[in-house]
Amino acid sequence: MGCALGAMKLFLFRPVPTALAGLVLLAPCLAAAQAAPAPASSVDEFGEPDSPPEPVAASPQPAAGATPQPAAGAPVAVAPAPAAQPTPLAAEPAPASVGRDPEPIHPVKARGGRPATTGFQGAFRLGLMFPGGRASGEQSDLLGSRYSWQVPFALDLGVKPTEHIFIGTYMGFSLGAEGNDTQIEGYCDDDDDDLENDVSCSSNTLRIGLEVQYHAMPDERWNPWIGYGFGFISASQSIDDRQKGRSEETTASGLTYAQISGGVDFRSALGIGPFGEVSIGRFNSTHTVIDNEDTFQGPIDNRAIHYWMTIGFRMVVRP
Amino acid sequence: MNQKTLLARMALVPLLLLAAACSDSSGGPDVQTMTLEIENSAGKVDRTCLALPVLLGSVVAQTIDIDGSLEVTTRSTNHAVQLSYTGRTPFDKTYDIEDISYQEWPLTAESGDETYLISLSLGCSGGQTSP
Repeated sequence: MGCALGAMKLFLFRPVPTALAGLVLLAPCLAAAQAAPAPASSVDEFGEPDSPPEPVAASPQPAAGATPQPAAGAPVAVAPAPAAQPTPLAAEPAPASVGRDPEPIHPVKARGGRPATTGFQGAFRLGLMFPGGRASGEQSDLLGSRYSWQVPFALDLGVKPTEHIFIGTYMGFSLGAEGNDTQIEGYCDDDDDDLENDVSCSSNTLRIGLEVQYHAMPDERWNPWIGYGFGFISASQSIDDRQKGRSEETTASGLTYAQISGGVDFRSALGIGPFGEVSIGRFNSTHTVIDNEDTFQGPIDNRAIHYWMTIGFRMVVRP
Repeated sequence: MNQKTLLARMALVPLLLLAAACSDSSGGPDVQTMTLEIENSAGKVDRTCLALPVLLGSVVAQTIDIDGSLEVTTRSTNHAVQLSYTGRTPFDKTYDIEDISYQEWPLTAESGDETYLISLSLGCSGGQTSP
């Protein structure tokens, strides 16, 4: 079809001699089209329309009766199969004179994917989580001033009602150190070389919510996916000064409005692959405990948007 | 300044830096405190020592009741104190901790026939410590 279009262009938009050349080119194209077993708009084994082969530059096709061979490098509709073995005609044995393996090619195996799953699916995520934005609207109250980067351990549990869609819950617990506020970092440094940790500072984050994921190629070896979730977040920071006998812990709680994630899974018996995630939320309330005594529990007056950025790997059960 | 003096002073700089880096502090915050002083018209003074939080986002909230006739609320963070009174002459003021010493004290609160003078100062020299 492509070569016919090329010839038509020559015929319509060029002077007469060139138009005649176009006619000459068009003739073998028409002959080849009559000889071809499947029309250009045919549907392959996957129910997907084949892409038409590109026109072969100025070289006439074989005579009527011969099966036309698409040019090397012609685009293949879906499969990442070698370009020299185009999908549309791969199921048909090539003539022996071409020297190709007459064995038919099974596109599903060529693509290397396992059958797509539905039903239960679970995933375990591990990575690094970096704070951004503001913890509250108060002076110097950045999320990164309160909490350092953290190591998240997260679980996705849910079901795939269809091959492409995952619906479930996410649960994550992350551990880290104090934030980058200079004063608090100074408090948390124990420099007396008595080989005892007199002051310990830490931070942690708990996240839980609902999520939905779209898996683009659930039956392929490499399956890209994107997800959206929302839920609850609670982040704590603490300092414990054993020498002075003073401890303080503050927990901020709020909502995650959008947890946008994406990645690609290498599908085998288990799935494994990298992912990235941005979780945007806002703390609404805070709770402070000093020396095991509640000193405040209530709303945050001056609220602000924060976000966590995560990169890591995930392992998928029933990918 | 001759060359020897200059060299000696230049050599002193890394030594000072080294000394600063070799701190022998066991860490931990120095607890910052503040005194809330309330004086009635008879000259009786009530002092409350407030310990301020050290972490960003921590809050210490307290209500101080004087003789059942005056309630002053404090809400402290690691950098500011909010002082409020909701009686006949209400106020709601927030002070940066580092500016407390430079404020004009006292505030006046009237409750019933009584007039109270309220002031804040850094540190605690006595009185009830809370929390």
